[in-house]
Amino acid sequence: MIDLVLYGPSGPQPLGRPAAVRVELRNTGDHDLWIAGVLDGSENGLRFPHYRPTVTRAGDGEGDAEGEGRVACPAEYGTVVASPAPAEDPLVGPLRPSDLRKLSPGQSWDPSSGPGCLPLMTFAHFTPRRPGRYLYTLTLDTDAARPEDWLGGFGVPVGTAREDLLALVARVPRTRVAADPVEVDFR
Amino acid sequence: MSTASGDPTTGTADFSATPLADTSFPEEWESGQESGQESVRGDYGTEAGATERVQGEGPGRAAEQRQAAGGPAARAESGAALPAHRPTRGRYRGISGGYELTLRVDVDSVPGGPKVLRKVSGDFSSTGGGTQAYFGSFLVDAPTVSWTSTQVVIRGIASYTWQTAYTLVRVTVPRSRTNQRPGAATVEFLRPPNQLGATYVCPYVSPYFRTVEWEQDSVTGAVPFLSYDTGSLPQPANSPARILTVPRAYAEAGIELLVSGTANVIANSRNGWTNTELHAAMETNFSLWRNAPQWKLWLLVASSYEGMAGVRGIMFDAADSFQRQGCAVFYDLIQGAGPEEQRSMLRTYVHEIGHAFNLLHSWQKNLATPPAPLGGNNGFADLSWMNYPQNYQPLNGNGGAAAYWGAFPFQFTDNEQMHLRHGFYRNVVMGANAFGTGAADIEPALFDEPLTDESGLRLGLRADKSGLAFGEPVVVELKLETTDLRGRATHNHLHPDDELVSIAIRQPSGRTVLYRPLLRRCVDQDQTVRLDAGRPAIYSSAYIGYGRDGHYFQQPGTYQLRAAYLASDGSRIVSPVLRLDVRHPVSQADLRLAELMTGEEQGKILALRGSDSPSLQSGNDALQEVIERHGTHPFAVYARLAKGLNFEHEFKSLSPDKTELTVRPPDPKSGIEQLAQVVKVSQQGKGVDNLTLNLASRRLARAYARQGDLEEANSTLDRLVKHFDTPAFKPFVKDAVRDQVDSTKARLTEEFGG
Repeated sequence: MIDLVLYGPSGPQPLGRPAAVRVELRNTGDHDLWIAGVLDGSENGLRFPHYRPTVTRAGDGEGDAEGEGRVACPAEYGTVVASPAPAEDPLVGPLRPSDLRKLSPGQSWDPSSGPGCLPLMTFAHFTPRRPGRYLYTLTLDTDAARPEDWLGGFGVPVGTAREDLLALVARVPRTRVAADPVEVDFR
Repeated sequence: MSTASGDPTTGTADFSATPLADTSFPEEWESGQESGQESVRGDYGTEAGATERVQGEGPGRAAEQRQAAGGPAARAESGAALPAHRPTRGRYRGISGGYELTLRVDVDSVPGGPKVLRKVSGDFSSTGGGTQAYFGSFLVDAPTVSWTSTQVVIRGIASYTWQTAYTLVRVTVPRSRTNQRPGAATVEFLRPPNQLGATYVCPYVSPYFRTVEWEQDSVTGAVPFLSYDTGSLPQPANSPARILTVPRAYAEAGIELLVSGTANVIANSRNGWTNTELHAAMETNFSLWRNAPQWKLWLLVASSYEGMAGVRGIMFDAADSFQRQGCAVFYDLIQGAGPEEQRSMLRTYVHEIGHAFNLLHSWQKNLATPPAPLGGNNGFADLSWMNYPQNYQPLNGNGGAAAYWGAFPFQFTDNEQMHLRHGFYRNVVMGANAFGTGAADIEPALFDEPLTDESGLRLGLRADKSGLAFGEPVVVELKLETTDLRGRATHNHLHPDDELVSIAIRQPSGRTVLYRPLLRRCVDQDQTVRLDAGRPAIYSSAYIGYGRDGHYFQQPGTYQLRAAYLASDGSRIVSPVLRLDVRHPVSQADLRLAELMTGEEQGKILALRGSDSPSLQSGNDALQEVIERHGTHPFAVYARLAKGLNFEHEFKSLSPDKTELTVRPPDPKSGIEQLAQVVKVSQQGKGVDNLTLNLASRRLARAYARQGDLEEANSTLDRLVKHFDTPAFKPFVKDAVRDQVDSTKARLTEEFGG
């Protein structure tokens, strides 16, 4: 029902600059799909929906990025060289009705741009220092244990407004989707 | 609300402005107290002088009387150099008629001191018996300031948290020398144009705009942060090396953090701390705590946050009825003696305390109630204590933590400083409005219509059409006209790129933003125009689709726009609301055209009226595609206009190392190719508005003249006169166009005729 697609730049990319990696979320089902884009706290897992990006360096596991620490990665690709930085404080912004968006069957949309959506900082700031092949991955997780986990850290509505908001959240399918990794060659 | 009846600005209860006893003054001021009996005449300004005459011995003379009675003034001893003037900046307080006024004056500073925000603000509380209750606040957003050797007079229209007819505020502060104690400010509230209401004489209290008592406790084993030398690590050139403590960082924003209470060391919680536990610890250990609005806050240096890795700090008091009284930092994560750790630790402390002042993260300002505009790159470009280093994304170049620290000058943004110093009381004070409420940097109420308007001026805001296609550039026309048959003189800066005109845009989401031009022009108010029967109005047209915050009309729906013009006499003239509908795209072709018009680079090119900048190449390519592949589409005229105006003019570029200036000469042939089309379709009513047509025609004529074809230049200008020579235009408009054409012809002949 949901297709999450990453698009990378064609051809080798220069070192020292982030690669332009684009995200597309497509409704592949027969019915309308309700979904939210990357919200405050989505990338570092503080609130739902979770959009969790990573960048992995293929090869010897010694890859590193400017300002990024390395994380041991059991995946076959090698070493995770970029992943979301933890939030400094949990004061994430409130969910607003306009954050939930309806996609008609076949309709697609970039969840990391447009009104109310935030860019994926992991991709936007990853600037490799060493040449090589890097894999960009992204997972979308809407399967919150509690619908309240969508609401945010402050300014959360109360009463009817809260109920209306939770009713909107209830329309979002509970799912976990991973995009096919995109490989970017930095030289 | 008030325990006194009435309105603190009307002065109906008591005109005998009673100064409070002065608070303590530093010793160096005492030596000046007995000196200075210099009579202060002062250039009070003709209008203020007229007010004094009307009021006779009334409170309009209060400032002078106070000074004549022994107020501060300089004694000019022969041969002795006088010490420098003390800035008037700071906080004052006075009582009148059952109300206490806390006044904040922010129109000057000292070298290296807090930035001048050019505001005056204040909070009223009603006093009765032994009680005092907050009444309301006001802000003069853009006052006029006049200086003489003896006093500073600040005046302007205020916005209030309640409705009052006494909207004009005049503050008079005597100027004193650095060896004298500061003089008292006299605050007068007037019903425009000059009906005097309440007057308050407010002795000086502090150089700080607000003072907060700050109590800090820590858990066993945690070592609270002390100071960081900003010169320890590379920092930007605009940030001098200095020792910053947490109070010092706030002092630079004009806020005093007064360390108070006892620094307790409390037992640690090995499993970390939850919000509930932190709140309970605050109630137990914060000696100044009570559930009420008060300028007091508590910070706990705790060990760690339970259940969430990576959390460096939290303003945990965001759920009950008296929020923002406490915050915590988590020592286990932020500790370290190295300069990088110390720098980060300072930032975390200042950041979390910022939340207690109701400051949101840089990218969250639009989530406030009411919403506020975001800074560049949706706030991620803010160089602020309230941004995350790892989220920093400058307008150009790579972002991230290294880029942030390389550019961060250890400060709040101007809008944040505006909130800290001048935000309405309940929006800032701890324990009042909930976190995120009143955290807006602009109050949409600023654009409410004034209760009375005797300015003699009227502001109109219109667009050529009420419905726009998605992606269509938004151009509005402003008209300022006189409603006074006797005529009015005012400045002639009517474009929103000038600092005296603002446009608020309420977007379909309900968010209200302020149009912020890419380049703000500082203007000279002395250039005035007289509006009378002969010339009752002036006009301006402006592209407002794109500004410092990006595209403002990026989604279909209904937009409400309102403009405000700050007149020479301080009146704020507000236009009626203009409603604009941005239609949904109905076809793929519509979408493609909208994409071609609404990229960031295209927005900049349209706002700048064209550019050769290599950094805008893809934007120019997109506009070229509009011209070449969709040449008859209504959008093409805007692409042609930007390109045509740019071709007609030379373009200067600096080499990447900034050592070489390249000048691309004007390209009249290409300019004519584009502008002739703009003029043609616009004269048929299918292009740009008439003001822009006027501009395009004159620039087209210039291109012809530059090419040596003065005859065609004159014909172009004649056609412009003919276009306006219809009953649809008022005679003074036709006359103005005719005069403009005549002077343009003369100039072109002089420049290119030889």
